[in-house]
This record gives sequence, structure tokens and C-alpha cells, in this order.
Amino acid sequence: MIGDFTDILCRDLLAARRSGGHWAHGAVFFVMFIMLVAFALGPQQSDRALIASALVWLAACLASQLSLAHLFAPDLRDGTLDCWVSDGRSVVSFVLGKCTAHWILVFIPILLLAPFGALMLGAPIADLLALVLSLVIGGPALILLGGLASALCANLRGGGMLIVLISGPLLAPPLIFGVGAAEAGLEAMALLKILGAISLAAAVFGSFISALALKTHLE
Amino acid sequence: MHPLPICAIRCQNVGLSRGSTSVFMGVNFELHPANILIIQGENGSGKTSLLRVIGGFSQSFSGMIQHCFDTKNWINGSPTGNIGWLGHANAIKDELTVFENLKFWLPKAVPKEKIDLVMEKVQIKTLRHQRSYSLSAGERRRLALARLLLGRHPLWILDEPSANLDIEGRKLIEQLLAEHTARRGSAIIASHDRLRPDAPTSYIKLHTGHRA
Amino acid sequence: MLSFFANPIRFQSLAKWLVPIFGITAFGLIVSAWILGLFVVPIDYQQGETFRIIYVHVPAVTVASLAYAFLASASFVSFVWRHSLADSAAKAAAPIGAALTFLGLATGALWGKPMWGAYWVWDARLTSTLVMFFLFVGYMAIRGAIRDETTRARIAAITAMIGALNLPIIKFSVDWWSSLHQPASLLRAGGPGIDSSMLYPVLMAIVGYGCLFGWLVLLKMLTELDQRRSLTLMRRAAGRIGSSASVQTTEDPNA
Repeated sequence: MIGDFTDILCRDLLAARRSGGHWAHGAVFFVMFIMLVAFALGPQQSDRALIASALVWLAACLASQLSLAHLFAPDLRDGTLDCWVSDGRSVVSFVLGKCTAHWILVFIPILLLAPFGALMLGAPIADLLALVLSLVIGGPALILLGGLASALCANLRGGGMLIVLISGPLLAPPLIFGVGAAEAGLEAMALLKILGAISLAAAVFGSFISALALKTHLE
Repeated sequence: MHPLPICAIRCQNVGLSRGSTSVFMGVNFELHPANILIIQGENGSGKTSLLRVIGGFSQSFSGMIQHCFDTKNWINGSPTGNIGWLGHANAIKDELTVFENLKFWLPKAVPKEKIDLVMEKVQIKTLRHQRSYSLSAGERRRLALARLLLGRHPLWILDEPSANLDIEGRKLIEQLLAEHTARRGSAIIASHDRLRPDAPTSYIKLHTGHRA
Repeated sequence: MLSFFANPIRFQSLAKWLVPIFGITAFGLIVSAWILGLFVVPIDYQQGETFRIIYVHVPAVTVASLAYAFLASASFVSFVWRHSLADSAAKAAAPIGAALTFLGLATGALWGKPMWGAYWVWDARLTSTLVMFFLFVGYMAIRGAIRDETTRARIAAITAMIGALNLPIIKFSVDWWSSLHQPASLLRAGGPGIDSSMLYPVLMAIVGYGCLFGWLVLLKMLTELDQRRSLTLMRRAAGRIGSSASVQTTEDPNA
């Protein structure tokens, strides 16, 4: 189980290192989103500061979904999953390994950029810790639930459009509580706990259902 | 060479329908260790679908598939985890080198030296550090064969193993099959090429359903 | 009970009985509920005539939720027992559920204008109904994108079940969220305390909409059964009947 997980994780990290910076897509989108949002909102600093956390969360949510369409489709197409399953290896580990690689490659850069993005939108420095903490706790949910949609739509016609339609309702709860936790600050431990519960549930059920969907695509 | 675990498989009246369409029906065979089964049939007769059913990917077939590891106690289902699978697709990651691709598939218990061994066997040792995207179609097939040799699966399921291979490559497959059966392994092969492995071989043919 | 009617022939003979019953009941109940609601029930002293839209709106939203529950349970049966009738029930329910949800959203918006002064507010109920609409649409879209019938049934069933797991979580999140950002809506305050003369037509309409839903689902399922049968006959006529395998031989049949 754990060996399977690290195998797939190391392979994806190595492949990403050689892919010519494909993984930076999410971070670039994140930065561009923040810049364009600032332009759209106009020059009044005071308006933006109120919604800075919400905007950063939204940017992180969208940026993390960007390359998810291609999370499972290549392994399904090139026969990797066929061999993986007939080797008797764990598909749940496969899903968790791929999602962890995606988290490292796409979400960690976003985490590092998030405080700067929030500052540029005018958030006070005191709010940054709560924002980053909520992103750390809620991030896995975003990726695992997006991964679930990607597993359902792997191998489908028009997969990209479908993923958005399927993952949209799934992403609503982590977004709601993520923004809530970021805005409420560090006193609101209850919200962070709910966010953590969503992430945990996504890790358990999401990876299990993703594995089920991938196996269905192999039939 | 270590002998492989013993694995026999049999199919009784196996058929597959996709929705209301029948793909194939009436597949009966029994395959013992050290034997080879070749599945023949025209394009579109359902060879690949049959291999996927035998390989345990599809659960919605009719009939019965059983396997056993001791020739006595038959267990329902396919021997998942004991199958060396070689499909149409080669399961190669373009960004990785030949060596890295093989290392990814190396079973935990097997030492790394095995990788060089299998590369030598399928004659791709000179490509060791090449990125896989630069390989030709035949070299990719050889790499996929090397992956198959890394595992110690008693049952091989091969879908057109000689696709994209030259005459040398076909001879290589026959030689690999002979060595595999000498270790009491068995193989189910869908193939158009007249493979003549040096092992007891049986055949079934899928006849496309056209009414006279 | 379920497995008894899982047989398509038995299902068909039962459905042929149920279809006219559902159809006539639906028609009778909905028409009489609307006549009662629009002409007999007295004007509400707070809302005036506008409240009469509840005889269209409330049953649509209620039956739409029931339709999703039906879709999810049919998907569960289809996934676990791999039965094609359950799959075609789910398939039939989705567009009808989507249409009812859309009707509920549209009438809700029309009612909202005089009530809240805006066509749309991000109220907890409206928001979760909107999400449910997207669940229906997503279900239909994913069905449309898969060619293989077996894969389609299974992936669609998983999608519907994920939605059923997700809906209560969304309801909970949105409830929390709207309690934070907005005052409780008028709708809830005026909800259960309505006069019984107003209530009876609503209940009648709900049952009527339910029968309408059942009627349409059964009709669509019967049509699909016939379609499948004719497709199989056409394939047979064209000679495409699938491969049959020869017996195992030790001789190469092509040699």
C-alpha cells in the first residue's frame, strides 16, 4: 500500500521535473487571477481589503483545478492503470499518490504565493496566518474532490467541461468553510475543524470513490 | 531461473454483452501451467474484450471464470495480482528514461540487477538512459516486454504481443514464451501472427456473428 | 419485491396498468388543485394575489427533491445489482427532475420579486435548489459523454450517489453561510403556519406532481424498453449478433 503510494508519487514528481515547467501553470494562473481581479475591482483599496481572503481562496480553488483534467486520463490511456491493476496493486494508493503529487506541484506554490496575493489586495498582515492556515487545512479537500471529478470524467468526450460541472457542487462546502475560517480569524477554531473534517472525508471517501470510478473505466 | 507459482485458469460458457449487444459468447477453455492458449479471430470479433474479461477488468460478463493455485481448489474469478498484462498500450511514461520506466514497475522483492538483465534480454540495453519519447514503436514494444519480464506472474495475458515488431522481435517473443513455459508459466495470447512457441499450445477462434 | 419486478416483462405488464392510473390521477389532482388555489382560496392579507404561485412552486420544488432521491436510489440499485431497468429509471428521472427544479427556481424567482424585492437572493433554500439543478444537469451531461452502455450506467450511478452524499453537506454549509451573511428569509417565517384552506390544494398539487413524475418516468422507461427491443431486432436482421467461440483445439485452425 505505502510502497505503491510512494512509487506513483516519485514517478509523477520526476516526470513533472522533466515536463518543462508544466506544473507552474496553477501558480501563474493564481497570480494572474489576483492581478485581473484587482483591475476589475478598481483602485479603492478599502473595498478590496474586505474581500481579500475570499478572493485569494477563490483564486486558489480555481488554480488548483486547472490541470486536474489531465490527472488520470494519461494513465488510463497509456495502459499504466491496466498493468497497475493486474499487478494487484492498490488503486486507492494510486489515487492518493497522484493527488499528493498534484498537491506538491500545484498547491504548495499557491500556498507560498497566497500571503503576497492577500497583501497586494490590501489584507492586513494580522489576517494572513488564518488565511494560510485555512488553505493548508482546506487544500487537500479541493484537490481530492477535484480529483474525484477528474476520475469520473477520465476517458470521456468533452472531459474538461464536464469536470467543471461535476466538481462545482463538490467544491462548494470547502470553499464556504475555507473562506469562513479565513475571514473569522484564529478564534474560529470550530470552522477550521469543520474544514479539516471535510478534507479528511474527501481523503477517505474521495479516494475510494475515485478508485471505483477508475476501475469502472477499465471495464 | 526460479520456478513460478502454479496457476491454472478455466472459463465456462463465458460471454459478454455491452448493453443489448452481444460481443462474444460460448467461450470454454481450461489452461494449465506450462501451456499456451492462442485466441484467434477477425478484427472486431472481441479478442481484446475477451482478454479484458479474463484479466478481471470486467465484472459484467456471463458464465464462469475460475482459477486455482494447486489444481484442486478452484476459486471463482480471475487471478488478479498474478497476471502479467501486455495490452495494446505499452504503459510507458514518455518523460522517464527506459531504465526509470522499468524501475517503476520493479516488484519490491526483486533486486535492481534484474532490470539490466531484462533489458539485455529484449535487446534495449543500449537505450538504457534514453528518454522514452525518443523510442521507435518497436523499441517501445520491447520495453513493454521487458516490463512483463520483471514480474514473476504465472499467467501472461498478451494482446497482439508482436505488434510493431520485426521478424527478430517475433522470434524473441517465441523464445520468451518458451522460457516462460519452461518455468511452468502459462500464457493467453490474442494474435494474428502465426506465433509458434515451443510449448504445448491450444487454440480457440472467435467467429464473427454473421448470418448466412 | 424489487427483484420480482426487475424482470422486464413483468415490469412492462405492471407499468401498462400504472401508466393510465398515474396519468389520470395527476391530471385530475393538478387541475383541481389549481382551480381551488387560483379561484376558491381567499386572498392572503399580507401577500395579496402573489401567494397563489405556491400552487405551482411548492409542489415543483418538493417533487424535484423527491425526484433526486428517486434518481439516487435507482442509481444505487443499478450500481449494486447491475440491473438495466434501474438504470433506465434513473435515466428517465433525470430530465424530469431537472425540469421540475428549473420550474421551482423560475417560479421562486418570480415570487421573490414581490416578496424580497429581488428576483434572486442567495437564500439557503434557493442556493441548495440551484445546486440540485446542477447535479441533475451534471448527471445528464456525464451520461451523454459516455458511449459504452455498461460504463455509462456505472459512472452515472456513481455520479448520482456522490450528489446524494453531497446534497446534505451543501445544505448544511449553505445554511451556516446564509445565517452568517443574511437575515432569515420571510419564506421560512411564513412557512408552516398557513391556513388549512390554503394548505389542502398545496398537498393535492404535491401528490398530483408526484403522479405526473411517476407517469412520465414509466412512459419513458416503456419507450426505452421498446427501443431496445427494436434495436436488437434490427441488429439481428443485419446479421450482427456478436461472436461465438469455437471449442478449444490443439490444432491451429488457421494452419
